[in-house]
Amino acid sequence: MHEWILAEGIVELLKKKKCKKAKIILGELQGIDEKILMEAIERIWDGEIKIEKEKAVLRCNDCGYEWTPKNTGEKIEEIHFLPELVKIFERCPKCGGKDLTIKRGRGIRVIIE
Amino acid sequence: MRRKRSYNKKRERNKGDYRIEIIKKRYKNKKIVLIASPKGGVGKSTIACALAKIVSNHIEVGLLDLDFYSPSCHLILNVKGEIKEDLGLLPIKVNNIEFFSPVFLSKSGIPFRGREIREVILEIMSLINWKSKIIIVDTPPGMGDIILEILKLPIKKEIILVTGRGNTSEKSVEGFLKFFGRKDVVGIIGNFNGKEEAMRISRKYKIKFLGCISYINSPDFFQAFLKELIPIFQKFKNRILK
Repeated sequence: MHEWILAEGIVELLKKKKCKKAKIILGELQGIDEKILMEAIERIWDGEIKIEKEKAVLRCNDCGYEWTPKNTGEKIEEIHFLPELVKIFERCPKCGGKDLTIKRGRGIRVIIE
Repeated sequence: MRRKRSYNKKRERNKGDYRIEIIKKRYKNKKIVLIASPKGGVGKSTIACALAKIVSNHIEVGLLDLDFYSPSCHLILNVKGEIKEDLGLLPIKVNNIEFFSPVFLSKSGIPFRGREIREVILEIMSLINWKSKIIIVDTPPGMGDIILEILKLPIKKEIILVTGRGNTSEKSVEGFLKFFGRKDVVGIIGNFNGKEEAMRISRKYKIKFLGCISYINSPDFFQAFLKELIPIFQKFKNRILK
């Protein structure tokens, strides 16, 4: 499971930073399973961890329109592994453009507290 | 001033990417061999595939196509692949070659913008679960984000430069060496009869001239290409297989 490898990387980073408390912002675009990620981190790290979800927002680089994508990593495996591939599955609802940017909610951000 | 100091302290504390930690772990005791040239169409993909084939006769080897915009290694090797997962993405096995291409995810090339490229490189490099200790990487043309990000990765690297025939590809390789220097450069190959061009660069920048591949016009192109690359490989075999 992908989440176990992510957990290892996160814990490695936390140990390097010598911190005991951290927050993970979980962007919904990548569709990471929160329960599995939490379980994996708790197994290998005894610090305090909090997970917060962040809604995904895409921005059209042609017209500036912003929207919440219907297609996320929860449904589409390709986006789960590489969120930037959302470009294949989404078009701007306003102008139909394919030149998109992920404005918010991409994947994992680790905040040391 | 107090607010600025605490903000900078917080920023410094939050520097670091968990994917870099995954990459350090995955690529410990491994190395990547980059086939590079800022100029397109000099034969990087063919050399990457042929080199992987030759190395696979000695040891299990990885081949990674990082040309997101126009991946072609899957066409040269004539393979199809799909996503398979086991503690990361699994490359597909083609004889003794572990092969991964972005087409396994996207089915075709995708245009990525500036900042996205860093994210894509970090995800791809941290995701793939290689068994091979040596991974040959086909890089895209250009000297921008993709090459910059790959060269920054905390992985042992070797670089094989490629020039074709003519002033334009020679100058582009010179540009690479002027900017990045010759650190990690194994040497230069002159493709399409680019012997003079490769030898000039070799003399000027003190990098090894590895050899020249002729302009091949054969019905069995890949086999003919392999035949010419094999003796060239002997010149840097020990360095690559070390």
